[in-house]
Amino acid sequence: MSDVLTASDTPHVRAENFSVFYGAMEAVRKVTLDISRGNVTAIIGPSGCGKSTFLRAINRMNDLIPACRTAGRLLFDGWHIYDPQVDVVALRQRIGMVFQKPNPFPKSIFDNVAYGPRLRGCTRRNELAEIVERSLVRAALWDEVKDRLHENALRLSGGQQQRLCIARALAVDPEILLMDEPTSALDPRATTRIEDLIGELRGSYTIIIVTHNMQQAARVSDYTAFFYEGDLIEYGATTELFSRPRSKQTEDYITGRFG
Amino acid sequence: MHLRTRHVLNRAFTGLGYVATSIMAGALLVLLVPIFVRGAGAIVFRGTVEFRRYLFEQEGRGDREAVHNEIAHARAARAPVYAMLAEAEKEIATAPLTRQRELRSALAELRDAIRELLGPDPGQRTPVLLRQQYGQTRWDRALVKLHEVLYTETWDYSDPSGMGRKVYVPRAEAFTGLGVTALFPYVETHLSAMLRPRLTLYWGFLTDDSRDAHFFGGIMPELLGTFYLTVGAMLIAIPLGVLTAIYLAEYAGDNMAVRFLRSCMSTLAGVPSIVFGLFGLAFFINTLHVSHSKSVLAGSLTLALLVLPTVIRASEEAIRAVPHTYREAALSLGASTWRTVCTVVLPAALPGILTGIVISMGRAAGETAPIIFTAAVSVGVPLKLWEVFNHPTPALSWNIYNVSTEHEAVDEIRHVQFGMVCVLVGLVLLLNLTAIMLRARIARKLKG
Repeated sequence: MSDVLTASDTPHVRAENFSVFYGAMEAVRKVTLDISRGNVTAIIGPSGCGKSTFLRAINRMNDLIPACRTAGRLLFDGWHIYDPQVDVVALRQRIGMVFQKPNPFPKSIFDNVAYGPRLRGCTRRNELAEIVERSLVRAALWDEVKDRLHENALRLSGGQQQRLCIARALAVDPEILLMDEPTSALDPRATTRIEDLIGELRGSYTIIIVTHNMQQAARVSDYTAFFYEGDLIEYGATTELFSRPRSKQTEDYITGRFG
Repeated sequence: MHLRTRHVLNRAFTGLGYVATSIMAGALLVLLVPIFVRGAGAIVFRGTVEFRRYLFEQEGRGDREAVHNEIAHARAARAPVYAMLAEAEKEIATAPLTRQRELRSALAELRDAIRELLGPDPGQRTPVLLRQQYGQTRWDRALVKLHEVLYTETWDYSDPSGMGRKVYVPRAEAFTGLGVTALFPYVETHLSAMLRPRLTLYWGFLTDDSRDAHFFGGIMPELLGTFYLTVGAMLIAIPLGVLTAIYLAEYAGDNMAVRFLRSCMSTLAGVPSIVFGLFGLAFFINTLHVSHSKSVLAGSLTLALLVLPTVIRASEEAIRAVPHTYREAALSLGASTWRTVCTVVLPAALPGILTGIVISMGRAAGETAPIIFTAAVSVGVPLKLWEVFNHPTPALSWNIYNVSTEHEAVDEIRHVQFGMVCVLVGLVLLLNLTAIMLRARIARKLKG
């Protein structure tokens, strides 16, 4: 998979001694890692290991939790994500997110995808239609929904809903796509489609995906980070990590001895 | 526990549920059926020629030819009555002096009773009060008045240990030996010819102004007043309530101030409505001077205050019930909090908010106490829209109270009272029905 690696001077996301606290509890502990541009990076680990917390820290979704605070540095393209000067709204437009459970708005398919562009003040019908089509094509959903764009999105199947959510995230042209266990609520066929989609999006976007499913991590990612109890245990090329884990804990986890 | 026992218990529980529901349904029927049946009597009734004469003369409705014709027929049927009365006058003049005084007063009473039934005597000067210019307009009332013509009411105290008993004595007894005794059987048998009852559909009850303090006409001023008061209250309560709910649900944390605010609101919801009424008078009229005296505006403000806790609570609950995933999705797409609220949370919470609003509307429409001191008067004309700022208005709730307790002739206009109750209950039911349908529609749209 190393052939898809794009050369780049700076990592897209860099964490330096980055910690996240919920009150007194340290959910992510002094993590340091570089996430490279245009690649798929998987974060694996048992439940409660802090992988989702780390992911949600990248576009500051944790801000919604009052007791949550951070320490250390988290950089996006060299910018401090947690700088008080940072415009969170602009940040989130550049770092999109797909959630564990498909969460389309109770609006039409069109309005779902057009939601982000409309936020940015795009109101022209033609332009919107173009963005919607482009996003749905990229999310491999266009052919299935092109004749019923004005139907309610909640009528779609779970897998279609999740692809719609991906299309919705793509519509604002993000650079990074965060995926928080995007297939855990889907059946195997829908899961395959999403995984294929991730493969197609590789290169155009930096994708960071949290997953419970180690086969999935092995299938879709270029790099894998293994978190355990808030610590980053091991981080490296996926093929490397799965075939020759350096740490005993990683080996135990990927061979299914715990987790 | 044995399986048998569990089954029995289950069945008993289901049975209890059925019983409770049936009792509820029964109570509702017992309550609503008489209201609607008697209320309908204000619109559908047997109207007499007097009613048609009133409509023609006062409202200019009806066919001139037909009405005049009918009046002529009725006059012809009534002529013997007045002839007999005139005859009685002469007879009394020849009666023994000792009886004359008694006979004269009996005759005067008889004349009064007949005037009540048939309207002013021919040739009499038109009375000032509208209610005295016409005989009975409704057949059911005419039958009551007929009884008053035929009988006098006295009290029998012959049993000293018991209470007095009401007895009816035929009026004819007072005139024994006089020709006028023939008047009573005549009136009884010819009442129909004299009043010509006919099934009448009077939609004007809903659209006409009231005349002579609800003796005649309809309830348009009350309907319009209730409409203004309710709409006004909602115009104030909805923005205020929904904004407060948004603040409480989305922005407010959980600190002393917010907790204090919440308990204040709960308390407000429990304050008796008469207290709101007095507060409205003291605060809006006497302190803020929103109007120099009672006005629709002051009433609406008071009602808004009354329903505010309901609106806030229903809206806040609806907003809190919106799945958190919607908010996350909107925020992750780069929406600010208020954009998220406006574009995602509020639309999804709309059914719940609407329910709260409509329940409050029903409450505002029906409340009496808050408007007694702030907005309501017993008699009035429909207000123009721009008059709501400084004019009081009649309103259904207040006038129901008024015509059933304070009116000078409560018994004469029971049908108005029932009509108003029926219209008010119908209005509230209609509002609730609208809410249910609207809610279902939006919920369906949201579900897809």
